[in-house]
Amino acid sequence: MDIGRLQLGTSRLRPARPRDHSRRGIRIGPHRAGSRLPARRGSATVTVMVQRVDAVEKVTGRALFADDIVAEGMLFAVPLHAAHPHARIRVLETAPAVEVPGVVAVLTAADLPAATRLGTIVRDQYILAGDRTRYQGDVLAVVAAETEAAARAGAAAIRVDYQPLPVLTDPQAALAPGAPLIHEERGTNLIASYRVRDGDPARAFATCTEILEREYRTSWIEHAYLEPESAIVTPEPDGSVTVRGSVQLPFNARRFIAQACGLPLSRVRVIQATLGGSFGGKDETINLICARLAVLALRTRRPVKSTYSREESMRESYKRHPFLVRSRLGVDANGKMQALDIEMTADGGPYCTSSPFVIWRPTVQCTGPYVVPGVRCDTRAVYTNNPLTGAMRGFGSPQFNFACESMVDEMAHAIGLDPVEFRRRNFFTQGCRTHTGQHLDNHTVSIRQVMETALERTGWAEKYARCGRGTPGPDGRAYGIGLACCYRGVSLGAEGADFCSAIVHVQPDASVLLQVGVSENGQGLKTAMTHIAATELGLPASQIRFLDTDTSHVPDGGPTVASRGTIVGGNAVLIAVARLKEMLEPLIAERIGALPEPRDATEATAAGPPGTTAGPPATAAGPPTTGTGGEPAGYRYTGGRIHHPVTGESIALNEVVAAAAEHRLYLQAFGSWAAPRVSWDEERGRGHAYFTYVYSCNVAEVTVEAATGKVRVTRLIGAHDPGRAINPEMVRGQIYGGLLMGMGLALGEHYPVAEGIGQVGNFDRYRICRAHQAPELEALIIENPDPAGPWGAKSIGEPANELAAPAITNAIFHATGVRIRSLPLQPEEILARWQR
Amino acid sequence: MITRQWQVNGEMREATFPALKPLLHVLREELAATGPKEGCGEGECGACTVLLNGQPVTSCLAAAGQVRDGSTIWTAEGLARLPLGERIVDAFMRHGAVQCGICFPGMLATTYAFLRDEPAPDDRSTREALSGNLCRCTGYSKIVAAILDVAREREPAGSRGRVGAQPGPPAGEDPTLETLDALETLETPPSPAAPRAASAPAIDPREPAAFYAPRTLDEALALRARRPGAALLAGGSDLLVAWQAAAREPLLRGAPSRTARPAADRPAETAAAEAPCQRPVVISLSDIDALRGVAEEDGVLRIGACTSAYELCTNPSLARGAPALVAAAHALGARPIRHLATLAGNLVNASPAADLAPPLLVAGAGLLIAKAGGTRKIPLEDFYRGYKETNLGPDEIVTVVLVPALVAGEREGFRKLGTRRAQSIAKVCAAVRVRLDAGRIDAVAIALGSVAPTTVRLPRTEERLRSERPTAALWERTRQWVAEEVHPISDVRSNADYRRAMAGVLVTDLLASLVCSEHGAQ
Repeated sequence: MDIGRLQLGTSRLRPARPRDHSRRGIRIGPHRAGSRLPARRGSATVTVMVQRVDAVEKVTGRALFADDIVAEGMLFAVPLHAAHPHARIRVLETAPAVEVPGVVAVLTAADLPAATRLGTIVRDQYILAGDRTRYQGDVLAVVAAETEAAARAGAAAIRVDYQPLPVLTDPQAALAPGAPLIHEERGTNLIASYRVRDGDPARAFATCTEILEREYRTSWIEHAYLEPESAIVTPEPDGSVTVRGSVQLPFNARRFIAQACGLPLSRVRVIQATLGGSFGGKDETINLICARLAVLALRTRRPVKSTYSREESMRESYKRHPFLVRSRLGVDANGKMQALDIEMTADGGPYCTSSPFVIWRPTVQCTGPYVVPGVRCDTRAVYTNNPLTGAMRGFGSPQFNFACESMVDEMAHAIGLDPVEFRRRNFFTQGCRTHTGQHLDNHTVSIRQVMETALERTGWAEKYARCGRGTPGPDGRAYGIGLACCYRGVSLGAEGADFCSAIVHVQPDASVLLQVGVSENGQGLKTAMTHIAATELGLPASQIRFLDTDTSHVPDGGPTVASRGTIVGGNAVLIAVARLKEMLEPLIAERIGALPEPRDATEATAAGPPGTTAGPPATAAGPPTTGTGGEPAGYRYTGGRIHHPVTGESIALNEVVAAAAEHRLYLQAFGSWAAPRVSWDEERGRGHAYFTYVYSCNVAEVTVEAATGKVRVTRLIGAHDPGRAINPEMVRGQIYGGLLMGMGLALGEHYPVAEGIGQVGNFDRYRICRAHQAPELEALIIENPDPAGPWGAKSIGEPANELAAPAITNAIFHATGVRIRSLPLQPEEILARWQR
Repeated sequence: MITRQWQVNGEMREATFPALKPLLHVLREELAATGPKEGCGEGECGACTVLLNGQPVTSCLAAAGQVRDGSTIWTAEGLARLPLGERIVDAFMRHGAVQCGICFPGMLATTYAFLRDEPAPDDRSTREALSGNLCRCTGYSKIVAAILDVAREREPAGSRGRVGAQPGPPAGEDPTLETLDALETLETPPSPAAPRAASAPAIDPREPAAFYAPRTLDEALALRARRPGAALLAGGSDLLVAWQAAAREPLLRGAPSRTARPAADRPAETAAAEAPCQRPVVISLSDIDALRGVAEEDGVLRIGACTSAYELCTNPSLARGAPALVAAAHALGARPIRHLATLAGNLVNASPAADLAPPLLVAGAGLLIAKAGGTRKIPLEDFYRGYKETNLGPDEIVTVVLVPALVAGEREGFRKLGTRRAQSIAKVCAAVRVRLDAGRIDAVAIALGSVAPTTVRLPRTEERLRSERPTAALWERTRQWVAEEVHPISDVRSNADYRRAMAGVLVTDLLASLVCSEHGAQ
């Protein structure tokens, strides 16, 4: 099948008015108010549905996921997990395991050759627990054997004598003076804390006519990627190791492995296998698994593989942080927010992982998309002996948004204002200043446009009027509709160094190898990168081959997290292609004539459609290309040929490629993109936290059964401004999946924990939404191209996942009058509290 | 070890493996068919779905030793080459339905069987069909749209016949090759790992086990007499879950998540099987054809003990004579589970949450229980002795379930309140059989699951309802009566108060709907 059909010209970048794309979704053009903003980076003028470049092999079972990979003579390894979440290990006797026939090696903390602790931010996680366990997922030993059965028998034969210690299960209690310390050397159970002080909250509260104080809680959420962790490590003859695994961040995995083995980074090669879902979840845990396997592989001089069972995965892998949010919000007589005092506490489990980032994001976004003059915000993450927590799609936002958007609805209700009108009065506006002192003036602040689009599409006014408000209809069900809005900083922000590279390598037959420093996690990055390169080079997608991320062949592009894949990878690809075109330009000029000298904008426009310049995109901090700003019109790349912008003369790309060899020229180009500068002042909580933001609104419709308290979500609408949808079908796919996963935070998904031990271990009890339970899903794409994004694109992966829960609980309130402040909601609770 | 010859994706293949090894692992490890994936190992996610003799099954729960010689197996790799498979793959591409893709080989198998068998798919039936296949990435929307697209593209039925008529695995195909041995006794030496037995699960499906696959009931009973305490393996949808989970994660053994399962066919001997046992003994009942099928005699439905839940759902006699049982079989799990799970398997488990028990209790069903030299008949109610306890003897086998069919004037129904409708352990489930006479309730039977240590009848409520006229006031009182009569517990799934209240709601709703459907609105 031809996967390279580019349906060029089917859909213009800027449709004049909302257009129905028939499959439950519309796309909407730029916000008029922001239309004076510079246009996107890059040269394409169309967005199209490009079929996924990696889908056929996945559906037909040919794609190799990590567990599908085998090596000659490999061993199989299984972990021995802690039986107690907090205990001294008095005896760890591995001799009986070694006796088990088939067992080749048993690895414990005592056998580690180099580092004993690893971590992304703080190196506090033990590769193997030696004298103490700190959570249910600590690994005491790894047994490698000829067969999985022998390895399991070996693990079962290991004798452990534990001396249980008090289990710290409550973050508040963990911070109390005298609480036992999870890491003595840190002197505190506080992992990290952030603060923002803006304006004078105390005085602002004094001017308020209504003040609400509330507490909101969320619980653990399992990523529930359908592929459990798996990796295979091969020792190479030169003493290096090659790792193939289900890793989300190959470069982070490489660092973990190198540190554990005492090898330089150059001797650790991590190749990402086809990844069966990740959602932020395949970082530290799988990295540690890889590190243990690598040590075993070097020791046994044999390939070692491990594939976790679902139970092992749920026990050891990190979850989404439970949050406790205490919020105090004040509004004046005009219904304008004046003061916010908010505290967030995240349960970090026993190790740091990415907890600081997870609380930093909600700190920076703590007002929601609303202007609040007086703000005090304190966030903290705390060590406990509860299950490990870390990055998960949304990165603290889903939890915070639940609190924020519940509070906004509660306040609207308290002051007798329509929840929509209340939001309209307080929304961010173009150029406004956030509580961190950032002026939102370099992109289109489209929150209002996004919400209005969602409301119009839903038929909000009519539906809101017929909400049950505590009274069920004749069918015994109460109807409700609710909404929630948010803004989200794109990419890492001031959390980290934000840059990425790409390599475009044209082969002698004009086919192209493409490598990018970020990776495919199932979201469609390969397709997006291929699409961008193909369009810029005027080639069918089938002529571009995206090489799976291999840490030895492409520079570290930073983590593929924070919805940054498209923006950083896409920009790097654009720059690499631009460089390549610079190399080709003299060759082309020799054959079809040189480009005209730079002229003014009018002539350039006359010469060809706008936005077709081949000049290099602007550097990170500089002004973006406008395509109509007086730059020279470049050669046009389309249909495998290169066209002169004035004469219209053309030449086939492969002729030019052949000519390159005569000129002893390698057609390989390297592109590197750095994000615009961001800043953060820890002390005052001030700065340009992110270089741009995405705006979103979710609407939920529910019915609640009066007799049972059962909630049925009948419809979920996700309206988002991702800058520009490079591939609208893939964007819709992200929105549909994100909505459903977001719903899980509110209802259905529950990971109960008792004394530090998770009470569910598999999908029989951890219930993710099934096809027949899914509500009607609708995706609305509102496009305001962003100057920083490739072709104007920002991001969608996480925005899609962070708003469904409060939209649903707000809808439940409008149906029943029951306000849910703790997630996941249970029909038991709704029924008990629904006093009719 | 056991050797089998199957037709895998159209090619004859041979594999040698421990009899209890899940089919999934044999396919992946011995036959290099790595399309089907393991996402959970307990039949919940459906990533391992393959077509076994034409029917979708979760291959992680099918003991490979139970798959007869000559069986046909189709995985995604092979299905994608068939004309219908190609069209499905193409539609998934066109719709951009795929993200991480790991669930898709299973989706393809489920979809193939669905489109082959369902003449007029719609959104609802498509979603029901996919209910056993989890996807975490896509929200299902595009998958459903793609499937409906393929359905729409189909030529009119008259021109080419059903999709099943094309080359490929036909539905319900019989194996073409004979099984080699009728009474196989493949007793292998205890595995090297056996010394750990004291702390390890009794049966690790990856270990060799003594595996018997008798072809007749007499042989099975003789074996049963000789090896009392052997585990009886019917469909495997519950036993394999328990065995594999224990093998996969010893720490979670005994954790609450494993105590009950809807697709249960856990024999009463599990207690014995769980005792330290160096040589696990398993008697497979799946080759005994006499244990399957439905017959009707003098108003009594005789259902073979190993009749699958899928057969219960599709049998016309049952649809007429035991609609509540059919509804319960539907609720028990998605189609790939229904093909494995068996009627008696669900009953002998004696789980208070077993879906199939309440409809049988209200019907006044009985069991035929055989042992070498005799058969006894016992009402199902007397079969249960307590939580997960039955009075099945160590030398006995349940052979037939006898169900009095509905007679004129009678109505019955089944409802389940779970976190989901299918693939779920019930929070509460209820069945009711009722007869009206001259506008009054003449006879009524009520049974509930998950409200007591066993599934129970509600004799006091039934008595109070007799001769009453169905009115709104009566339903109000009924709700109270039911709540008073049940004594549920609190656990991970729900709390006692809620279960008590829900029992009242379920029973009352069910009663009201049954009575209304007969006599018009009350």
